[in-house]
Amino acid sequence: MGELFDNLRLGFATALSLVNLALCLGGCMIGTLIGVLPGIGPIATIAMLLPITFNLEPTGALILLAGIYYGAQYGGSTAAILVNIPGEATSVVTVLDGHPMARQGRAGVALGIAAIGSFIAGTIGTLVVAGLGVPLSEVALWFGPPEYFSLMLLGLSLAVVLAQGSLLKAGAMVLLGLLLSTIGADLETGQDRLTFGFDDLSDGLDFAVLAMGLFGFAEVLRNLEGSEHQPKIESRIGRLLPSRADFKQALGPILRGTGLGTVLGILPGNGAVLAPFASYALEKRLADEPSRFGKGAIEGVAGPEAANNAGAQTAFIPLLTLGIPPNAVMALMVGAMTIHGIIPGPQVITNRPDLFWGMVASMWIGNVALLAINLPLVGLWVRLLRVPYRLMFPAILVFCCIGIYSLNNRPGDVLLMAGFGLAAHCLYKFGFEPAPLLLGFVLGRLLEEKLRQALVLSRGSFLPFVARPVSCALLLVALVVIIVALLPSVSKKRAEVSLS
Amino acid sequence: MGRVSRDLGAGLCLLGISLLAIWQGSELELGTLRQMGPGMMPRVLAVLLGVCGVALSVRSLTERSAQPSALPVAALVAGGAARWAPLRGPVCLLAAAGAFGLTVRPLGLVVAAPLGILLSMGAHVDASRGQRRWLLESLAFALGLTLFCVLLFRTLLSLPMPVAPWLIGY
Repeated sequence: MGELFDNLRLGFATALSLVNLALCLGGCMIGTLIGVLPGIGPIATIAMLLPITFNLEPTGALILLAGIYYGAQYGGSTAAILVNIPGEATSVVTVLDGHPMARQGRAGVALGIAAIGSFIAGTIGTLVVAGLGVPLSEVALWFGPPEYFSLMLLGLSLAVVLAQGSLLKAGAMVLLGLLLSTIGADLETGQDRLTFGFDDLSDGLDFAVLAMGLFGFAEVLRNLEGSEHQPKIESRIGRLLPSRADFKQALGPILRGTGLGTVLGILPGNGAVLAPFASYALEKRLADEPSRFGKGAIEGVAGPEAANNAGAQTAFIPLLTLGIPPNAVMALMVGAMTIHGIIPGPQVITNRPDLFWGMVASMWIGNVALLAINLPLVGLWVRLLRVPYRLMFPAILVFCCIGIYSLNNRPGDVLLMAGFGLAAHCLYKFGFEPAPLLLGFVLGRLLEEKLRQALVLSRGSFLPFVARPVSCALLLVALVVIIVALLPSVSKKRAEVSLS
Repeated sequence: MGRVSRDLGAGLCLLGISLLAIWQGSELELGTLRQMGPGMMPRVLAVLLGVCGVALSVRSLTERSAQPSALPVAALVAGGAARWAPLRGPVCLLAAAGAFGLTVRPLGLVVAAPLGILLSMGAHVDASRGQRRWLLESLAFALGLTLFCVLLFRTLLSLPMPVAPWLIGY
């Protein structure tokens, strides 16, 4: 316990340095901004800002990027409540009750409870990261190649199950992502693979280029197809602070949502996206009058928002302790770490305690800052929502181009990004989702490395994958997850969710 | 154009990618399970992808379901004046990124950025406004945004972006 306090003191000393504090606040501001604006998300933004972090110290760079990620979760709820559009994919559920509350003139209370719920969840989530970091990284030191391989397989199965629409299509996207990751020099022999004779491809595809194409360029293309209607913005905000009765009603959902989000966020394979849905379903089931849901029930805002934010914090655990990114944003963090020569994994906590604990402390400071940014400045964000998309998308496109070019100073990367964007758009037309592809790509190299290591050690036998207890358990969970998703009743539910 | 043909297209698309990868990787040594060669992983993944493609195609042919398609091909087949409308976005955005990529190094940001902005703005023309007004607004917006980009990326963040090498030397 005393050790934890020492560590936290080190963390706060790091995070409260002038530069890091400024980076944390800057990240939260940018995150809120892009969270509020529909049409641009944290993945594209972080990919865009990656080149800027080259000049920063690694701790500062990660503090900035982390701030953008969880800041976007806060911002997403503002758009959901005021305009009836989820600013981020994770605030889809907030729309259901948040916007009705706004129409009843209780927009301020909805924003307030979302921010307070997120703050409580963020604080608890950060504590969980701080408490679980060291023990989990010690467990991870026990992990051999078979365990790593099985864990990644579990992550990929979860990504398939959590994707919208057909399981077969999501599975195909994971495979395509894995296949794309094999492009470039072979790990052992250094032989060029699938490069089509292009020398630039020997280093493999650049993750930022792929991510920006899939989530920046393709997103603009998709948004352009939807007819542009000037969204109706609820400008009556009203009182921001929830009343005592409101708060009493919301406290239970906030705590339950935090619990759900914390647990789901730790799962590899982006379990955090599930958290708001799970929390909403739980609150509706527990409510005395379930019929109030969808008509402005405060529990329907408080629970999912807390779940969402708790998940956003604990999603850092797999990255910081095991070195396995659970989602695309964390994969970009891996990129930011490797640029500075830090290999993510269990050794980070012991080798760079300032980095780990500085990030943990900055997360909490960031959550305090977001409370301050979101509530008093809400008028500013509302005004931003009035910027028409026809002016926004050229700006997004040019920022993407500048970001990609400055990554390697290679003009060809810009064209490659556009090519990926177009390809992703075509795949979207065929009903494929980009998220599983990106996770497959992210984990591909590590997956192949661990598989090859494991097979060398076992002389070509697959037995250790099922004979070693931890590996076997992970594989069994993966199997159960897939089987459950294939059950008729569950697959029907999935179809309903993806249609709505 | 129901879901049937959309899934068939999706399946064939996957099969195509799979065959392409198998062909590209055909020279690579497969190795054995005990000592995997460079070609093993790509081959296994490509084959699995191909299996998914075939499964998707077969399922689409056996399963009947009428769901409206989101494919632009449908609009293209329908013909008429709106024929090329769905392609407008992709074409303009590709042109914008292409123009940016080709001009940024020789001519710098002051040329590449406005070019990219103006070309991409072609993807969305609001018919209710006058052409003239739209043009003026776009020009003003492009110039303003370019200035902002130069100030933000070059002056403030000091990224090594060429601004106008032919005019000011960097």
